[in-house]
Amino acid sequence: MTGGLQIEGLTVRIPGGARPLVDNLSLAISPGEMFGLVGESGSGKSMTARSLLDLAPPEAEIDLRRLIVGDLEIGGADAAQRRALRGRRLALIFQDPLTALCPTRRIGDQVCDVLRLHGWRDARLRRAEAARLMAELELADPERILRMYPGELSGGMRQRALIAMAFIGTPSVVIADEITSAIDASLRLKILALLKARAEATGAAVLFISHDLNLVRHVCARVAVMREGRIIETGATLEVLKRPRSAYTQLLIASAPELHPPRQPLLQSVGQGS
Amino acid sequence: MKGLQNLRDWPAGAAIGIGLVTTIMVLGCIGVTLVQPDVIDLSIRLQPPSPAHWFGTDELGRDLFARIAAGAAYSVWSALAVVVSTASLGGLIGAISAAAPRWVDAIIMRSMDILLSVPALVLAMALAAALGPGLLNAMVALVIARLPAFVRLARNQSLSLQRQGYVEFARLNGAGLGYTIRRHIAPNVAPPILVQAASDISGVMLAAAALGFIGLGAQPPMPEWGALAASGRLYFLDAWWYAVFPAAAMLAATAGFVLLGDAARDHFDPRRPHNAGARP
Amino acid sequence: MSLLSARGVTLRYQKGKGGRPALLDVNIEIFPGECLGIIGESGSGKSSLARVLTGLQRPDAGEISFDGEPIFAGPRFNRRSAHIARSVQFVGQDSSGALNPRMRNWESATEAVRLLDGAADPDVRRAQARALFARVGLNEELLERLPHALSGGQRQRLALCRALAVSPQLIILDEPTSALDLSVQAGILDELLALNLSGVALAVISHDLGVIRHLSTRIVVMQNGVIVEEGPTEGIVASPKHPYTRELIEAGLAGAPASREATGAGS
Repeated sequence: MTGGLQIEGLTVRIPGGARPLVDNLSLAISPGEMFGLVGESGSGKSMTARSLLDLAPPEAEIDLRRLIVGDLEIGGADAAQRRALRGRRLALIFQDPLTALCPTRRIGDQVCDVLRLHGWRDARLRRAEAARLMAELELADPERILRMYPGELSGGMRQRALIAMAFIGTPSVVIADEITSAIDASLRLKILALLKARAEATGAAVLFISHDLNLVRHVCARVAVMREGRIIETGATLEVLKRPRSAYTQLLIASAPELHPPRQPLLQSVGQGS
Repeated sequence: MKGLQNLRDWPAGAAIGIGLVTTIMVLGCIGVTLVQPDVIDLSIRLQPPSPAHWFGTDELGRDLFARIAAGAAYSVWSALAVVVSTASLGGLIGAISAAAPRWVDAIIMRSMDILLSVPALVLAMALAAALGPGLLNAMVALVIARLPAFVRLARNQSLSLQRQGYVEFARLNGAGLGYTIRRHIAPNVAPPILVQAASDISGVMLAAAALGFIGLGAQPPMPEWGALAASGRLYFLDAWWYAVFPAAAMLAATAGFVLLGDAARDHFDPRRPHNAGARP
Repeated sequence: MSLLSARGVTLRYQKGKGGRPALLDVNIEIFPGECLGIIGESGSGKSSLARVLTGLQRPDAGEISFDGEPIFAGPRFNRRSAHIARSVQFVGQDSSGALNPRMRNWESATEAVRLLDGAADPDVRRAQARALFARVGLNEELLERLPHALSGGQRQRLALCRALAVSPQLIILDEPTSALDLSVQAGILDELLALNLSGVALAVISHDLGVIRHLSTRIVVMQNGVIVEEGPTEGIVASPKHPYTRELIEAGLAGAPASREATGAGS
């Protein structure tokens, strides 16, 4: 497979920890695909994203057999090479857009900074491109938004601005780590639809990390379920939801109230309390 | 004592702290009972340290070790007494201030602000001067001067506790002020106050010494460490031991109490394993 | 007749002009045995409503009464009457501050009994706590432990215990599961459902439509401090009238099975 994201044998270990945080994880995402990585807290899903970008805690030992990002292959566990990927071929969208943006600078300036890093020399062209990017994410009146500070925008608008910034320079891979958990429920699907549209338009592979199976169901054709650092089940989302093989996936599905008729006990079907 | 069972879990600093403080306390007990700090022998004035006089002698030929041991009783115990009264009084006033109606809180906190507007040592000096010289009056002055810091700490801690779910739950179920303070506020405010108090002991000892030095605190011939160091200062060039040993005793006591304060903080942390365990 | 009723409740955090009220002329009634779901997003005023309904926060205007007895009777200290305290209990969002870190779990569980009934005998209270623990699925080994030894789900079960100790008629829950993992949340939801089916009225406040739809018999939708829509759950989910409700439901519940017949995948 060329392009997209291919991870082979990623292991993250904290010295003295009982088990690896990520245990020999492998997955492949095609260009333009949005792939769901589902797990609960402590499953290692965020650590996977962090170690790919070399943002894991410094004491973590990262072991990686092979990493393919776009048409570039990185062998072994070369942290410097991974770091070089950051922002160019591999972009990250954070959970909380407020802390990801500088609060004292206008949105437009921050978008233009990223454009300049990607070789946009002419300030006027940069500005026009920034406005075009905002419009692409269906932000009304992009010129006005570019003049605003992060604090003046709603959570949804900030997250859209971050998505726009992530796709500058057409990265091969975009990692979205719980990007809707700080956003009001009524906006979540809309923002994910925009993310998906951008991925399809640019051919970026999106690793969509979430705890919300219901959300993943709406936007990802394929999904992997993670627990205790391991992928315990993977496949087509609908197939996994219909015929979960592992008991843990069954528990996760049973736990999602959206997938069940109202006012019926959830965990009876799997016979498991917490 | 349960604390001793857990000594091994404690960081080394705690053990050192306990060691230092215990040594000084024992020294104080010896000082009160066994040695004779006031025996004057002008034939051996300002002798350097020797097997007979471990810390040397002073200008009147009194044994400096005996005087420091006796001084431990005055310095440490008076500092402890000051800190214990400041912490308990300050904690109580702070907790009341936080839980009481707004106007009571305002009166308490504005009076504390007035006290705080004058540096603690200056205030203590003024109060000690007004009350008259003497160790007891100096102690009273120090309690008043150091009260605002504790009231503020206790009040702020209590205020943040008031917004915690368990305090609101108790309030919803008709808990009164006394119950809330006793069961919820005090157990959770006490540890930070204790830590503050433990690290305050050294400051109080120094302040008491300063008062003694300017003649407002302990009066000679009382062998209080500050007074000893102050008189030793006059002979510093000829008899280094006279100023150095009282100062060293103060340093050891200070370090001991600071380390003990840290240990107290660790010990009172409910997240520590021995605290989470079952204990009826 | 309703258990709890709020009439014309208005609450402003910033006094004077300019500050948008957290609650504006809110009218709400909670009936015996029902599960009322109050849904809204951050800043909608739903948590303020929870605080006002329980008596934690005094509103600037309006009246809240239980069984016809006003909740805020006393002039200064907002102390509820014993009758109201026994009848209306509160469970907040789980956070480290929900339980006293220095109080044994059996004591926390039975604190309301001690405060309201004056039951001081530790052995009696321990026995009560043991029964309560069994009721909410907590291991009785945890009775003598401190809250730190509990997981998030166990802490929330203990908070539920604490509310149940005086056998209330109504429990108001503010985001009872939003700090929990999905599979842990499911256990709490089952617990709440069983509680409601046993006759205890619930008022569940949440931003999560999945949770609200799952538990409630009736839904109140809040936006900007105002109730924009209310009605039976099925009606609201099937045909929302307010555009905001429509958005919420389209976003959160697309394709969710509506009834027992259309049971979803996996069960």
